[in-house]
Amino acid sequence: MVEVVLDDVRKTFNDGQVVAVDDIDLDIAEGELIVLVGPSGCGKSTTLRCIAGLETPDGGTITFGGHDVTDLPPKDREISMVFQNYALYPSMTVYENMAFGLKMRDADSQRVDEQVRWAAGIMEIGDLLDRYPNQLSGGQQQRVALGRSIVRDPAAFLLDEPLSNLDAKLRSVMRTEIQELQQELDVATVFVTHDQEEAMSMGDRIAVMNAGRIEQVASPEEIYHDPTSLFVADFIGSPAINFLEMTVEGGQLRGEGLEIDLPSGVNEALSKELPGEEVVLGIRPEDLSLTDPGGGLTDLDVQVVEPMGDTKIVYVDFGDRRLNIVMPFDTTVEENETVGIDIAWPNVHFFSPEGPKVCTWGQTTAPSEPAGNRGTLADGSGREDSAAETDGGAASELAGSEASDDVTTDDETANDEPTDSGRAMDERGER
Amino acid sequence: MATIDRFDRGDRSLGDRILDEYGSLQGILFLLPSLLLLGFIVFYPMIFNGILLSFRQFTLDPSLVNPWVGLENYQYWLFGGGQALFLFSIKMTLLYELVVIPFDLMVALAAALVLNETLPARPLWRGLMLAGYAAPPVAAGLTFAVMEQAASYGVVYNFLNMFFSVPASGGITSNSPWAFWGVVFAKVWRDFGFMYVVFLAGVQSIPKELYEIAKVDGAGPVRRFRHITLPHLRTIIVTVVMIRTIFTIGKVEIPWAVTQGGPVNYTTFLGVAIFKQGFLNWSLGRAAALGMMFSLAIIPLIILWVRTETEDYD
Repeated sequence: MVEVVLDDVRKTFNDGQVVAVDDIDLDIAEGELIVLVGPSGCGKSTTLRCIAGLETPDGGTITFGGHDVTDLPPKDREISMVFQNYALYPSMTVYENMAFGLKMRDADSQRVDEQVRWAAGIMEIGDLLDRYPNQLSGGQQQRVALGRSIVRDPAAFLLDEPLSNLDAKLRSVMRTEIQELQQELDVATVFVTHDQEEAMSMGDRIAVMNAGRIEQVASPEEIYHDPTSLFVADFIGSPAINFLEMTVEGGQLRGEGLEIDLPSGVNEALSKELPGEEVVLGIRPEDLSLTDPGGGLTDLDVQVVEPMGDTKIVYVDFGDRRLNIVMPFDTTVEENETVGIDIAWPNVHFFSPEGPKVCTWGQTTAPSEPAGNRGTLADGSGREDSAAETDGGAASELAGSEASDDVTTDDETANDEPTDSGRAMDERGER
Repeated sequence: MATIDRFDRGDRSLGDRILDEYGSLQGILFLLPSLLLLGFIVFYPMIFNGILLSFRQFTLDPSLVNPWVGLENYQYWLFGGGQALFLFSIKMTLLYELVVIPFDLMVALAAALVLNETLPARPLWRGLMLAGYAAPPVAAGLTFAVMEQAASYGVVYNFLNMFFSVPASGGITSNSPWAFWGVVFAKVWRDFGFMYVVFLAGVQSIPKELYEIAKVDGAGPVRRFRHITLPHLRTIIVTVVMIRTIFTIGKVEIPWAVTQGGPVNYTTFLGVAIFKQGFLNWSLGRAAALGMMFSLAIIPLIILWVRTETEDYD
């Protein structure tokens, strides 16, 4: 059981023309489950394959428990892997599949037998040991693949989209099982997925990747409530976050016929950090709410209502943007109805149009600061991408200037008092 | 009721089941044109020029009558003057098969494995591997015959002569046992392209994750070949070996072009024996009798092949 550290790892293909992994840093603590998530082609699988030794990085080092393994072949890394299509040896029985890795390492047959039966017991596949892979269902194959991967008592556990071939129900069952298994084995685990929901539900920490870089590494809560870039905010969360492009002029936020006074701290941070006057507001669907016409920020027409059971998703057009609003299931709202829209301002994020986050309306702590103390299992060194680091400065200034904030935010980290956002709300009421 | 019919399968007659499996009489009507065509070009010659011919004394000379001779032609091969050649020919044919097929298999498999790896100019190499298969067999055979002579252009001879002492007079093609190998080389070079293409396709269809997980499991190249590649190619290998075995027995072009069945009868494999009897000795009746016996002998092989073809991979 070891800690896995990636330092400046870089991998290119086609003679350097395609950069798959662009100088990434990542620490995976002993027993930690870290999820690499991102759109296809973002380099998450390549990163995993570099850790496995199936790809050799062009630069940087990978260490397992302090030992440099960058140039070691996969077999010498004592890792185990699970692939999306399970990759069970079709010509071998379940037992032989599970025993293969140990046999290749010349383990004596008694130990092989003990280990295989132990793993089969954990994965509850003891009665399948004599079957061939093509006689198993997808879920059973997945269990065998997982069983095979734990047989060898690996130093690190690498899973490449292991749940993508399963149906939705089985996927959620296996999700829980993998988490339980991982806790039981207490092994550094890297889980690759393109599914943000899977990432949120499984990871001790999540590393959101984009174009070969890690955009943010943090706990699921932090990634969701405190995204450090437009990309992260957009990628994580379903239904997706709403973005509004507005301009900052004279301490006011303007756009789409609205003028909203900014709290002084936010105003300072924005005027200091923004390249121009443009700013992108990121508003989670649950931070928007419906009011009676005239009772909110502005009046809009409902386009579509999607009842989800526990919630209702309401789509309204705001300028040329379509907003997603999550409302309680018992909200009575019809399509084509005119409604008022209100925004929970303290949770609104401000992004530079280039991507990095500048600040959050009501949040006075620096975006990257809580990395070490938000319940993560990380080593606390708070390795973040460069975007987060540049944000750090501005945000910590905010922390000082916003001390007199008077709004109680939903965010558990906020300790603010009422703020000028209250004033802004009042003005909105008059409009 | 449809659901009841579905579970009634066991009680139905064979005819019903055939109709069920292959469609109704309509289906057979659709097949009729090709069946008729096949009848003319395959079954008619087989029956009239094959079976009937084997019971006559037949030459191409129109001035001679071609009397019916009953089983005399068969008797000639089995007990008469042709017996020695017949037995020798069977022995050499079996030997030929036993050498050519594994040799072919190994060359083709090696070529497929090598060309499945990332190589510079791989498409070019892949294409070149098919050069032999694209060449006319007689041309390939004659070229090998030339290369197997003791001369400056005798590439194959000179190479073999570095390791063994091959008589210079007559080169490889006119000295036993070298002539046998002379045919084998030409045959394998000409034919391995077929197995190579099939193996290459087979190797490419193996999921690369299997090799990757095997690397993670600690299996080296030999074990990966033994535990992944070979099992995956198992059915393919069985199939191509069957096809090649059947199609090699009767083939005349290459042995004839390289050695004309010589020295004496040393490389007179069954196909060559039939050819010689028919077109050198002009004894078409005897050739037909030998051909019929040969046809009967390969029926079990064909049945075996059909069974492996239709068998599901378990």
